This record gives sequence, C-alpha cells and structure tokens, in this order.
Amino acid sequence: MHSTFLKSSTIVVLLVAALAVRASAHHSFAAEYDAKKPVTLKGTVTKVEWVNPHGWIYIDVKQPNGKVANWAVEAGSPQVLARRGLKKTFLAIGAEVVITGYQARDGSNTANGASVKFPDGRDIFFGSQGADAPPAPTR
Amino acid sequence: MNSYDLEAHPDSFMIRGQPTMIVDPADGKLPYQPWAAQQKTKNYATYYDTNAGCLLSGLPRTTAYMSDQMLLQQRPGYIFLVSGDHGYRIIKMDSSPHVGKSISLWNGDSRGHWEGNTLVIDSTNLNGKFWIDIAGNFGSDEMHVVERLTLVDGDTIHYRATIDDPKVYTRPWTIAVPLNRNKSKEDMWLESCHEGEHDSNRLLGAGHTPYPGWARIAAAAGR
Repeated sequence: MHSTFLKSSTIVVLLVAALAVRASAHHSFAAEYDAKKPVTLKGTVTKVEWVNPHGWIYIDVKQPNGKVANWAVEAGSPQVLARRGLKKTFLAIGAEVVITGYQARDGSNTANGASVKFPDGRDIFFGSQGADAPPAPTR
Repeated sequence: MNSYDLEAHPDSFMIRGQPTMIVDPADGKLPYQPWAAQQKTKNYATYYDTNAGCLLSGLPRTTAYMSDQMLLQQRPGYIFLVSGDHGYRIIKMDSSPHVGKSISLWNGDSRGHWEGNTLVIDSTNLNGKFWIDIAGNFGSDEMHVVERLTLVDGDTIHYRATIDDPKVYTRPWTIAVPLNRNKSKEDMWLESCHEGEHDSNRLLGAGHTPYPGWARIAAAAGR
C-alpha cells in the first residue's frame, strides 16, 4: 500500500508538515527583538496587513502622559494565523485588544507579537515564530 | 524539526530547542574544516540568512526542515511544492546526467530513482548562496546531496540526506528527520513572500548584511 502511494502513476498529493513554519525560518528574531523588553499593549486596531511572510497589526496605545502612540506588531503568516483561529474580521478598525510581545531592539514602537486578547475573553497566540514560540510575556 | 540549527541546541529566545538532526558523524556535529568552522561563526555574527529576504533555502533545508510541503507525483517526474519558501523542486525520474557545471541553482539539479519503497534523489549544481540553517551553517557550490525518502507508515516519511562537500567539510555527513502528514483538510496557501517582507530592513539596521554566498566568502578566506 505504501509503495502504491508513492509509485502510482496517477497524480498523488501528500501534504507533510515540518514542525517549523515559515516564520521560524528567518534569521533568529533575537537579532531584531529584545528578550528583555516584553511589552503589553492595550489599544485599538488602526490597520491590519494580512500579508506574507508575516502579518502586521497596528494599534493606537494611550501612553501614561495621555498621548497616543501607534505600534506595529509582527504576526505569523496568513496561513499560520488561520490555523490558530485568528480571522481578519476579529481585528476590525477600532477593535479593542491587549497584545503581548517583545519590543524591537531599535527602540521603535515595533514588537514581535505573542498573544492577542479580546474583551470577550478570547486569547489567541499569533506570534510569527510558529513552532518556536517562546513563552508569552508575563506582564 | 525547526530550521534554527542542524546541531543540538537548547531553548532560547524565540527558538525551540531540539536534538541534533545529524546522525553521522555520531557526535551530531558538522565535520567542518577548521577555516569553515570559523566562517560559520562569522556568518551568524556578520550576515543574515538569505531566506529572511525571501530568497530560496537550498538543500536539504527546503525539503527536510523548512516548512509544510506538498509532494506531487506525476509523470515524468516528482514535484515538491514548498509553501515555506515559495519554491519548488522538480525531480527528474531518469538516469540522465546532471546539467553542466556552468549552471548553478538555488535548489540544485535533481535526478530520482526508486530503491524498493525508497525514493532516492541525487542533487548537484547547487549555488552555494544559501545557509543550510539559521545558525549560519553553509556549503559550497560543490555540495552533492543524496536524499532518501521512505514512507514508513501511513503518516510518516523517514527523510535522510547525505551531504558531500569537500570544499567545506572533512567528510560526508548525514541528517535524518521525520516528515509527518498534515492531517488537516486545509489547502496549502501560496506564500508571496515579497508582498510584506520587512525583517531584512530591520536586520540591516541591526548591522547585518545579506549573506554574500560561497564564492565571496571563499575568496575572502583565501580558499
């Protein structure tokens, strides 16, 4: 049976999964993001880029001084996000979210995302690092 | 298995640890020539993986530990579609000779044949421009890869590859990994990597430059 599977002259499709997904295939994220800078960002969605190789979620975050800062958060690929149950419709402009992740080493308002929490309690891991997911930040 | 490092590595920031994929040599280490071991360390410190900029991943990474992949069987050859690095390989199932030495390719030139239930793929003409993992491990334009894919049960392909590259290593080495069936019913989506790739700019900003490939590093190393 097994040999038939691969040797048949008819078209055969076999979908196999290496544990690593695209995201983890990049250069180590340690070069871009800082493990010592976990961030928790509470804000509203301003833009979503559902693109390869990594999606991006932009949110307005109110600072302690009252000013608003726009953050860009790197996510998994569209296919990875779909597997994890995160739909683009969850992230409508203006949606309230709490995102955890790690800030970029360059100090910009950029983060590599880990989890996104919605007001109704849904909590979805959406990190770009796929199977290499680190523990989510604890604060 | 993830593509961070062929050799054993512990958990670290954003990286899941895993045992070595290398089954020969028995110590699980790549048998580098001394200069090449130094070059590997320099690679990681200086350059960034060409894959980060959406270029292809070469062998054996593309097929063994890169991403989900779809194996299509049709005459006259086998096509491996790889979602993870938006590339594909065409394996010619005949005994025709490899293309001429003047031709170099990211995923090489491949010929396949059956040995019982094992699909054996012989690949040459690799371009030496890719890293074989994120850790900076590398090969030359003389890399010769022989892969053996055996369906050991209904859901598992035993994948084994032996790499011979006398310009970089002291002896041939072999990796072995399982390729597990993706049991979900989902389609494999096309990954149009260039549509939203931002990481390479940030890596440049962090002081890394694109890996220049075998020819340039060999010249710089006086090889």
